[in-house]
Amino acid sequence: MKAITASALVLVILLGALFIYVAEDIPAFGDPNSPANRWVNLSISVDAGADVLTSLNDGVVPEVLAEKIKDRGFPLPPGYKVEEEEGGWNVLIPTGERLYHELQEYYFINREGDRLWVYRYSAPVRWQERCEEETGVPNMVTAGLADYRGYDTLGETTVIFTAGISVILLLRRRGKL
Amino acid sequence: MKHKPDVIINTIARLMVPFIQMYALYVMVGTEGAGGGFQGGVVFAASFVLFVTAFGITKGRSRLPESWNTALSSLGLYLYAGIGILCIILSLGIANYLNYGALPLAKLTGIAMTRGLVISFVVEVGIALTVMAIFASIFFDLAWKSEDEGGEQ
Amino acid sequence: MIIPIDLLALFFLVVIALAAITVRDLLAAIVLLSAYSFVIAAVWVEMHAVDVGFTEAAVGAGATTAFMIAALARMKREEKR
Repeated sequence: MKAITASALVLVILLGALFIYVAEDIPAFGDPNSPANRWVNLSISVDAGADVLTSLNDGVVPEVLAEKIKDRGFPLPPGYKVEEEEGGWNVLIPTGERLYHELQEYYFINREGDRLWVYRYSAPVRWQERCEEETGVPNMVTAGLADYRGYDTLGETTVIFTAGISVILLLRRRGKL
Repeated sequence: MKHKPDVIINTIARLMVPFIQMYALYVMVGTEGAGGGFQGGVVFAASFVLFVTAFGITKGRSRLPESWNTALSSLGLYLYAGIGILCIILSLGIANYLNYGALPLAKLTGIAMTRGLVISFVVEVGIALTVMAIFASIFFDLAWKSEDEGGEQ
Repeated sequence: MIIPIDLLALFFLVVIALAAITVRDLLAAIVLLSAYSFVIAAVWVEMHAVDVGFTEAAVGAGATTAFMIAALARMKREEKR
């Protein structure tokens, strides 16, 4: 056996243990009893004052809330709509997709006790729910790769293409190129 | 050390290569099961690897000549990027890039079905063509020089 | 997602990795790496990630091993002491 140094051995053992721990820690992908939660908590909260509630009920996000959402990096696009829902308000925002005009569900303002918490619609769950009806492809991975993240896969295919071309340039010395 | 043809490997390869390629086509186009364009392309390239190990590289190269190889690799990428541009052109600038719902096919079969059809027949086939041609050309380039002096392992 | 089988396979992976480092003959190292990608593909499929497992099986065992063996045909078989 080639004498590998003790430090290399220790390093491999530690990395192996880390690898096993991480591999076991990830919930199984298709595991029904560990579903990705639908609403991602943006940890923005405002106390539910009377004026805030009234403005929400007639369909306008109050200024103090809109301000907090904006400096979190999610500017609220104009033309949004607020819908009453059980236990909170759904904020639908226009997607700017000229082809699909209808508003997309994005924020959810939940009322817990006397505080209002803002949640965001998590993208993977949206994929899971809307993939069949939007793309008509049963295999969600293929739909995700080719359609939702089609630009990303285009880049990946270009990377493979350039890899092949560079191998052709490097290895073909016979001048026949 | 010329490539010595071995009867057993030849018959096995002659039996298996078409089925591997059939399987690659099934994986590539079918969106039912697992796998898509990339996996289909790699399996197709693996069938060429088996062909080369069984029948030698010169016969393999005659089966998939260089001109076809580079043409296929750019054709796949052209197909994929082209369908994106087509979406913009045919929708007269309304849809943005790679928005398959904007193709006129949507008037026949509705937006969802159009996206499904374009994904599983145009985009996946494009990816598979590129990946197959690139992996095959890399393998041929790697194995080619050894054929002149060294010979296949 | 049976935990004991997972642990066993993952521990086996670490052993394969160690063997691939310490073995001297390069062809044996390539075969070990191919076995590694087969086992990791099996673990992924067992963890309900079929697409990743399929890709790893196709690329890892299929393409990478073929490339490395083709490259090996150009080099010497033995690693220097």
